[in-house]
Amino acid sequence: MLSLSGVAKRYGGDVAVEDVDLEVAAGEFLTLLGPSGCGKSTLLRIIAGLTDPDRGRVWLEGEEVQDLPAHRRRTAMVFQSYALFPHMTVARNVAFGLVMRGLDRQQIQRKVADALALVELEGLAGRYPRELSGGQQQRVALARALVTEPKVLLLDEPLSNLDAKLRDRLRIELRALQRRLALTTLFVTHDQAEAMALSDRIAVMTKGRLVETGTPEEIYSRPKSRFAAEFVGVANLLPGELRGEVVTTAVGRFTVSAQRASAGEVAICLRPEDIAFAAEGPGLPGRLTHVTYAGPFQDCIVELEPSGLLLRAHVPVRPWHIGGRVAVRLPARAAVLGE
Amino acid sequence: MSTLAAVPSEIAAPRRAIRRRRRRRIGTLLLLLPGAGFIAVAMIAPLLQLALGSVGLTGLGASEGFSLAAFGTVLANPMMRDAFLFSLRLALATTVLGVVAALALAALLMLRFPGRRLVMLLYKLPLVVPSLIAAFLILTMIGPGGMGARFAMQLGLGWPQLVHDRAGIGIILVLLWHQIPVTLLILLAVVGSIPRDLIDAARNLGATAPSVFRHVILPLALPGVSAAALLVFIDCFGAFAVPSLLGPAYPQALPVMMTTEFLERAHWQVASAIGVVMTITTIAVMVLYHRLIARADRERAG
Amino acid sequence: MNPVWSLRSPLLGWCLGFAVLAGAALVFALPIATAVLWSLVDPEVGWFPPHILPASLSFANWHDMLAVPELEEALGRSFLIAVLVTSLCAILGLPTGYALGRGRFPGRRAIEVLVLTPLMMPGIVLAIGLGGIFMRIGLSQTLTGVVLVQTAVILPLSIRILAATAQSIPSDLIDAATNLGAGPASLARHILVPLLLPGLLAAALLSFIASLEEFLLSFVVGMPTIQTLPMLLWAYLGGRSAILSYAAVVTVALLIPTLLVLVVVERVLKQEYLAAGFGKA
Repeated sequence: MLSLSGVAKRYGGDVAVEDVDLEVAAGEFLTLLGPSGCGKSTLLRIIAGLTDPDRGRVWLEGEEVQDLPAHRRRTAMVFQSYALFPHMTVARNVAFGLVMRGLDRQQIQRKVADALALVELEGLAGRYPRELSGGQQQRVALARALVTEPKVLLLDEPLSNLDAKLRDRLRIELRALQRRLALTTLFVTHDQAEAMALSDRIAVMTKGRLVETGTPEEIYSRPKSRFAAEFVGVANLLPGELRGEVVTTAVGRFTVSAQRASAGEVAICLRPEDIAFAAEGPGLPGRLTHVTYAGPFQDCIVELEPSGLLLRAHVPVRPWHIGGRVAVRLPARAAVLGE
Repeated sequence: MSTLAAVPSEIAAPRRAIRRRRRRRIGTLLLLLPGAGFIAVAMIAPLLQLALGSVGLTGLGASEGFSLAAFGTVLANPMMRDAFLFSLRLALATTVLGVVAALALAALLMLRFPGRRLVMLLYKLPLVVPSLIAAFLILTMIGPGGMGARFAMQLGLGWPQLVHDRAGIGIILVLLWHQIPVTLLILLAVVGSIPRDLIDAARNLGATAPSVFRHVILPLALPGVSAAALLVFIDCFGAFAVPSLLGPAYPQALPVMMTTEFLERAHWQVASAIGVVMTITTIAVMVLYHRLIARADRERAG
Repeated sequence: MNPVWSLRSPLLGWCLGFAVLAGAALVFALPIATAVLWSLVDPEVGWFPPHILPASLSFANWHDMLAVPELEEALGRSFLIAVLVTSLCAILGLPTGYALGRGRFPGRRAIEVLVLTPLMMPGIVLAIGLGGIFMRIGLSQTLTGVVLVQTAVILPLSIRILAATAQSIPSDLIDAATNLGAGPASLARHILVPLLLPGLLAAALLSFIASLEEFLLSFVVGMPTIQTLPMLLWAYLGGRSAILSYAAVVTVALLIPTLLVLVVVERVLKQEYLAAGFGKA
């Protein structure tokens, strides 16, 4: 449905986006994930036509669109600030895209009513944006975008201005809606938990570059890049040497979970929930330096003896305490990161 | 303070707070007094003087006590009436033309074109030129011996009478020369304060540049612009220097007439009466503005 | 404000740029250039239609400026009045501007409107009213009278700029200073005045220029004894007799400091002062 090839954009001396290739399939929910300033919003704007790239091409449903002006692209964007027109009622806001397209009054009224019903805001059509709560405003913004029946829906951190509980709820509703409409969607966020919860695929970005693309499971369990491994979830990275399918590190040998490099110096990634403690018995000797109660588990940092290596582990809740000695058990397999 | 020590603390604390607040209030009042006080006096005194002087109760010259004779002169005299209408017409024409021109220029300046930054600097020049100088400058351009006339002469064409004419074209042009940049400055500031997201959202929803201007920018900029237009109107209504230099022999603008009565003829009462009429007109315009436009703007904006 | 749209064809951009720039130059810059030319016209030869350019130039008019007593007198008067008015506006405006900018008290909005009323009234009404009062109390045709009457219309400008500056001082700085032991006097001296300085400077510059250019009230109160440069200009433009080249000299003499100040304010100080100063921000 949507393709980008070699897209790049600079602002003066600063690189916003560099050499991005991306493919989004029809009906797919893809999240652009990365820290602030990584270029994900710029990329979204380039797709919408609100910013012109310095280089590169953009295809929408097979058609090259990078030279097409913003108002002629069939993309609809939901802004972080919602960008609702303060001088128009909810109904007029939602109708705006249809008015621009020149539909007749009856059609517009019908579609607006349907869109408001879709986001469960019937009855608020005559209100003004300033009279609505944050969550309601967000839904109006969504309705305004959806009513135009775009080819691609673009969402620029739409949930970040809401409090945690509301965000959680709207996240679920948003995904359900998207599935129902089978709408190709591009979602931008810096919240990796959100990305994991919503996406069919995640594209990780940093410093203007697309670093890695994959399903949430692939990125979490079998990250390819150091950055993705560290950005998504907590990562324990250990240097080691790869030969064949085995990596040898200072704390033991691991079988690779997916083939990456052929041989040589690599890093492996161990997730905190893969590490286990025992009070005694077989395992690497370690001493706990931090223990934090996190609800469903305990977040610990253990210092391995004698190497002095620090590992972060999420373990079941037990009476572990700082300074306590444990036997650390590591998994047999690990993800290998290419550089 | 020692008296408070004897009082139980639950009662003492609020009293202390009240005293502190009162001291702060007095402090603020003292700070406000010099500036606000001066202005209050500078405003009330002349208005009082005009009001009382117009009915002959204070002032200069032979004052025979309370009499409405001056108002009779002002309202009945056709010369005065023509002057009033002339000033009103000048103000209206300048305001309307000025706002329209400023809107057009603002729309133009939203496009990116080479030399735009220089234009942004050039349009601010008239802001620092006082109306008197502007009168001279425009006179050198459009007057009978001005550059325009000279160019026309070189080409063997005639040049229309643009100053000292009955329609006050010269006056309007001079007033516009200053007012368009003022309105434009405010307009650009107001448009600049419109969140960029709104414009992007409109573009994203399919609005072409003219549509964005019409549906988003204009409605949101109008309140600020209408306030500016009001000030322009009042400014032009009370303008003296330009009409006195570039105006026709008849009708004279109202302020010119007022000054003549005051300085040259020493008809103090009549001058005061004209002043009262002008003040009432100004207040009426402001009230009208608030009734019609300000309310609509407030309802529309966010 | 930043431009929002790019034009699709560069040719259109160049045509537009040329047209707009030419128009702007013609309307805004050409009159000033013409005035400069007029000031340099050789009085022996004159500059009559249909000549587009003066036949010969000379500085004779400028020499006259300093030789003709009434010109010299008006020059000195205008600058003296400007200095007095600027000082008065600073002294009166600073406390009030500060209180309006940072104070939170009932009726603040009303006082803000009060401060702006001199600018909202038709100048002529104010002029004749104050002129009448001054005539009665003997301040008419005196320097004091002109200074006072100019202050009435320039003070609002000064207050607005100072209020805007005062408002922009981050509360954190004041809190930190107080927390570290600064009383009101120390606070004012070490924190407030230094931070208000740019605003004070902007207010002073704009007040100075406004005073130099003020015509109407000075005219009504000062005529004919106290003559400022604008009043002289009015006389040369036909108020008394039309001497266009003298008018041009006075014009250019008034414009030079004005344009200089505009450049300074635009470059060095922030745009908000300009907009606030014109009473519209």
